[in-house]
Amino acid sequence: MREIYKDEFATYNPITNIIYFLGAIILGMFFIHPVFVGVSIIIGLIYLFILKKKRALRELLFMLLMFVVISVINPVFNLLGATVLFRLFNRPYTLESLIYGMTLGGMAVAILCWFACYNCIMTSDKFIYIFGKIIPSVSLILSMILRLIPNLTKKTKQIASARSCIGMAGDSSSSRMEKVRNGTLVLSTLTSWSLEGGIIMADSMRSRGYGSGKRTTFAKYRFDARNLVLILVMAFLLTVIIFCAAKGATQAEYIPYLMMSWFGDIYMSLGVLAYAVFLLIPVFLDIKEMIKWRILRSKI
Amino acid sequence: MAHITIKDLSFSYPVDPDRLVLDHVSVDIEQGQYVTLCGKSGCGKTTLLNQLKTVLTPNGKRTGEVLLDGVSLDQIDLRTQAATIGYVMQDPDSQIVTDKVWHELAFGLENLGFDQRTMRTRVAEMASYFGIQSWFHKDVEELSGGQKQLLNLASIMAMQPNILILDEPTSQLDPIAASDFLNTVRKINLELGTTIIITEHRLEDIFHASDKVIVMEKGKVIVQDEPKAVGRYLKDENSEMFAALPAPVQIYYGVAKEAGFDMDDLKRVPLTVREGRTWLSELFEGKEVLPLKEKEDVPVKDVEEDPAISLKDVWFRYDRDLPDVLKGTTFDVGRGKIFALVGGNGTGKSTMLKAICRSIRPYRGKLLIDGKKLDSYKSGDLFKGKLAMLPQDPKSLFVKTTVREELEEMLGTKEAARYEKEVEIKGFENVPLDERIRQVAEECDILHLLKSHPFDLSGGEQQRTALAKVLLTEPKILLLDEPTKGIDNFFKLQFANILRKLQERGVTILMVSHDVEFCARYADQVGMFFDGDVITTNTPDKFFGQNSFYTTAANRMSRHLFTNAITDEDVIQRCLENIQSWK
Amino acid sequence: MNKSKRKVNIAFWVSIAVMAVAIPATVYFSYLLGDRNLYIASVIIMILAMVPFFVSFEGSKPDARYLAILAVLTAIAVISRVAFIWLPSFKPMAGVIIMIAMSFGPQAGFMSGALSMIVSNIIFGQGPWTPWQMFCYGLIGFIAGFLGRSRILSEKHVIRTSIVSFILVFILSGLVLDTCSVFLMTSSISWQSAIAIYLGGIVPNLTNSLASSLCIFFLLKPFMAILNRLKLKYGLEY
Repeated sequence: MREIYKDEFATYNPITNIIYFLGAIILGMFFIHPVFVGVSIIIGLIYLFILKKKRALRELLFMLLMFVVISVINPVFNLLGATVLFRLFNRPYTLESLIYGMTLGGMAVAILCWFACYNCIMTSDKFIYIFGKIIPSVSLILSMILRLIPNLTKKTKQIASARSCIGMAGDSSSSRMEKVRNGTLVLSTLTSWSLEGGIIMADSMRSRGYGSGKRTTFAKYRFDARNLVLILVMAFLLTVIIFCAAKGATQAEYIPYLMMSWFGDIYMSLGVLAYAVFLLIPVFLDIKEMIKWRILRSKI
Repeated sequence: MAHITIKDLSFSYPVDPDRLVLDHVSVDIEQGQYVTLCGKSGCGKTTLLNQLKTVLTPNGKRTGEVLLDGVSLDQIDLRTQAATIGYVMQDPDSQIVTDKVWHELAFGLENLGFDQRTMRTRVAEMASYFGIQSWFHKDVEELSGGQKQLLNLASIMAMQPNILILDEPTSQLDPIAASDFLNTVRKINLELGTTIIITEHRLEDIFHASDKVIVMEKGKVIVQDEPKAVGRYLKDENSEMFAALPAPVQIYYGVAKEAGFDMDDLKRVPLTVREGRTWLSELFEGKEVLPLKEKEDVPVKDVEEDPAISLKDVWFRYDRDLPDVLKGTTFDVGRGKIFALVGGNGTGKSTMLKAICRSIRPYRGKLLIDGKKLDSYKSGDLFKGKLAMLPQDPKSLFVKTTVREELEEMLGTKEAARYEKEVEIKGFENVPLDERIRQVAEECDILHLLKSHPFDLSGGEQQRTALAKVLLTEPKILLLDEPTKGIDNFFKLQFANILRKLQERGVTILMVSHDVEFCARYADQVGMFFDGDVITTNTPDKFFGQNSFYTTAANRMSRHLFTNAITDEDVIQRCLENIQSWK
Repeated sequence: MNKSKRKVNIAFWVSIAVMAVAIPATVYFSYLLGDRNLYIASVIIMILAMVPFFVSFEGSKPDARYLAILAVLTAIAVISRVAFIWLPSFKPMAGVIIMIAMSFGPQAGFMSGALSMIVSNIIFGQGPWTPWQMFCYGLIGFIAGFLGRSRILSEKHVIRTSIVSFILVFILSGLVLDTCSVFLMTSSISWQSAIAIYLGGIVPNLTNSLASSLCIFFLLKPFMAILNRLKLKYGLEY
């Protein structure tokens, strides 16, 4: 269904993956400091381009649009701010408000970007693995639904084509209502048919021992030393970031005057550094891997 | 003490407590035996198999017992049963539970609560044994039908059962995938010593390998013995089931009497094509074979004068970037003919049918229906009284709750609603059937099923109901997609008779099929579909007579002696002619 | 049946209790952090509110048939729009979920709603809206389950059921979901921007609700008949 991306971080355990993405997304939503937002966007985009190559461009276009809309619109609603750039419909359009809008827009873009990366890395397998750790029955039913969806999609098309081949699917002249009615007939056939299949599925489950006692979950992913190391590194960086944030590193006031912590502040600099390093982890891993293979190949 | 003992087992469903679906069945099966269970559809085969596993046993009244190594099945807990008795069902698709191949392999082990290490080992072992490594990480939906069934088998074998039960496991597969699958089952039996109990319609691949064949009829076991003895018994009793036996057995008994064989000498009875061939060679040793009496030799026409369907240089692909599926397909179907197209999976046969139905549009080439361009038909006209297709899976046509409503749906929305209302008010029996519906239902032999729910019918009955629905559009041209898939010999015969009747009425039939035996027997013309085009067309005797691999068992067994003898009857007749001449 | 009903009610009350404690706590927390955190606060609340449902589902040790039927029906809900390939914007998913809930009750309704949203998002990509969607569609199923039990929604009253469903879907998958966008896209909520977003969403929301309601109008009777037959044939009691 979805393609598999060649990426070193993707080979890590889903738990490692999810900690990283939760960190990136949640911190990204909390920090409204232009520098932090900028760091998040830049690294997010770098990672997205590593993953998707040229195809990231299309998403970039959408993000750009969103950024422009949010940043330009914000001053229209938010009239406060000291530096008036011009007046629109006799209402002030202020620099502070514009910068605030840009930060918000940037934040939205960063979040979208991280979700896009997340969607590349967290395949359904990984998602189900994580669910399996917490709520195994839900994880099993998710896997069953994912198994059924392509199957039922195929059946739906089969039914529609079977009906059209005996002239029961209406034609270009039939009304919209008629088409909706035909659609519901297809759905009802699909329901009867696939529920019969569901009963067989249940029989197959029980005949393979489902419900006969305690159940375990097969883990396709191993949790090895490199995962542990990476999680410890992430935990350390997160602690540093949160500590710095608590010390006011990410504070920013926009209205009525711009007032924010800047690089002179030790906590702010340290915070930005730790944040950047944390977000860059997958990129580092990819670079490391590239160098390793260069060396290995040169040895051959 | 036998491994599995079924002792005087009877069973009836709560809806009909007087009818014994299983009627005092007693069977003993030894450890490691390969047991084939056969009988007509509805004879109680599946019901019997379901009694061998408690979780699958339906509600109903049961007397007698099933013992496993001397212990009653009821006393064996479900977990042990799940691990020791594996059960492969008919439909490869519905049995699969999870979305990934690796997960499916591990599913049974998860249920039995195995630890990670054991699961890893077992899954790896099964993937290697069944050659699944290359698709281990795939989505199950990407697999072919044969691969899916193999996955089902592997995921059951991962639990290391002693007994493997298979209920018509290959009925939904094409012949090549089917024999692959059955070979794997045979391999499991030989290499692991797993006891096998299998039911099948097509006995060719399993009859000879069985240690024991059990034949059932109306809930009773009529015979259980080694294959040759069963053949003899069915012949002596003149049983209907004799017709389901592999071709060599039927041919042997077809000529046995004339040739003066000793009926008690079972050693000579051939079970496989190889044995049959040797036996025929011995029979004809040192004798002259009479040449084929030429029937009035109708020259094969390459071009039909007034074809019902005509394809000329039709090209199609699903997407611009995808490879062509139809590559200049060219062929004609003569009016009033039964034309069969055979060929492997994925050669584009079904796509070709879709093109004729206008589900897809070729990007080049000419497609004529009744001499008129397909595109020039309005969709209303095309499917009313001209063209219709019976889909591969009859279930895809069922939308209502009774067979009657299914048929009435074809009269149009308003008419159907009127009938439905009337039936609701006056009762089922009191509303007379529409005359057309009555005729078609009679023709398809489903008059007794009108009240049933379409999904409660057997495969063959569903097939005929779907056909009736299709016939209500009064097509002049009928397209059939794999019409014999999953239905047994008796239903096939019934189906063929309906086709013959339609043909008499002048209906042109184009079918696509894997079923070589069926095409050989009933088609007027057979074409080979390969790589997006029809390679050769000919009459069935010439077509199959010229093929050496893609042909019937009877032909493969006799081709070194006779030309163009393709059905069992052909071969028997030619043998008899010869034997007559020696006298 | 009574047992499962009781469990659902327990989940419901636990959920209410969680919300009663958690909502003020979260609001206070977000107040401490300053503005701009409404979204995160809301997501925390929703996850907390969903936990009892998932836990009670897990604890009820669903048997194979229940699991398989729920999986099949949820999958049908997710792909229901494939059947309406002619009408690209026609998405009757919520309609199918309501019918599942009417037949199998609030718990199944919640699960199918929430699961169908997770699954759609697994297929089409997760986004910041995932928890909101799960919660909203879960709630549609849950409420429809209760309305079905109290016969307000019933296959005997097709038109009433269609109208009630229309309202339910419009409020929950329309207005409530748009609130998510409000939280996401604006800083401190101002009335103007909120109204702009709600107005912008009104056309797709109406289409969506209409699709679900039409789907129920046409499908309710046959769909319930199919499910009732299934229950009868296999002796299911859910």
